[in-house]
Amino acid sequence: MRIQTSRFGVVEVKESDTLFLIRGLLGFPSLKECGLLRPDEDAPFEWLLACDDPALSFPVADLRALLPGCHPNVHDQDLEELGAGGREDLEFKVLLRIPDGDPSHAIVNLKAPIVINIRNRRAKQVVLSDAKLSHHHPIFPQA
Amino acid sequence: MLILTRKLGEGITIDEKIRVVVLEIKGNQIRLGIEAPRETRVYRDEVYKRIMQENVDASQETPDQVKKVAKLWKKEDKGPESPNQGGEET
Repeated sequence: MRIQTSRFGVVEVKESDTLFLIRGLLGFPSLKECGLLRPDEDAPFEWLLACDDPALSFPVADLRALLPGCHPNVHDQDLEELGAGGREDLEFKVLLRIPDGDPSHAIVNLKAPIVINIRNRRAKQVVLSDAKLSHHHPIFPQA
Repeated sequence: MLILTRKLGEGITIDEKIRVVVLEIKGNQIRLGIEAPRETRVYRDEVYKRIMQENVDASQETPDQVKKVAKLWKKEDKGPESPNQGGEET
């Protein structure tokens, strides 16, 4: 699939790297068809690219690679909505931010991950109720 | 905005599918009960707004910034104990 983007030009995305956000992202309800671009294979950071809007893209991190011990608890109804048979079908991407433009302050939003059913590429952003999960989880240990 | 007055125990029905009932009134706090189809997303306003803002902020980041994060991550990830630690990227 070819995606026109303002940040990366025209990008070719494999079928296995596309996803369909069944409800968009919060604040972006019409963002449905997306592709994932991983510019650097050796780091777990990707870009979620909107197929219909070249200007719209979001940096995300693959949760399993970033925090191997973190297994968010997804509601059964989310599983059902994604058509997932079980939690083993799920993959999580968390939105990345770089406050103050300082890479050592990079944070991910563990509270509202994008959950992907890897079997059908359906995805949604969920809001997790676990109080231990932070909107601003630092990627690097803070001095 | 439609404005309605309700008493304790009374409710409203929205679109025949969603029901909101006043369960308790205590000082300046009101407990609401919400019955809605499973697919209806119900959030406290501040939770919804916060995540929306986080999404908007993320959409403003640039590839250059993310590249810097990736570089730092690789450096930290392949820490001193890693057997195949490479030299500094040039």
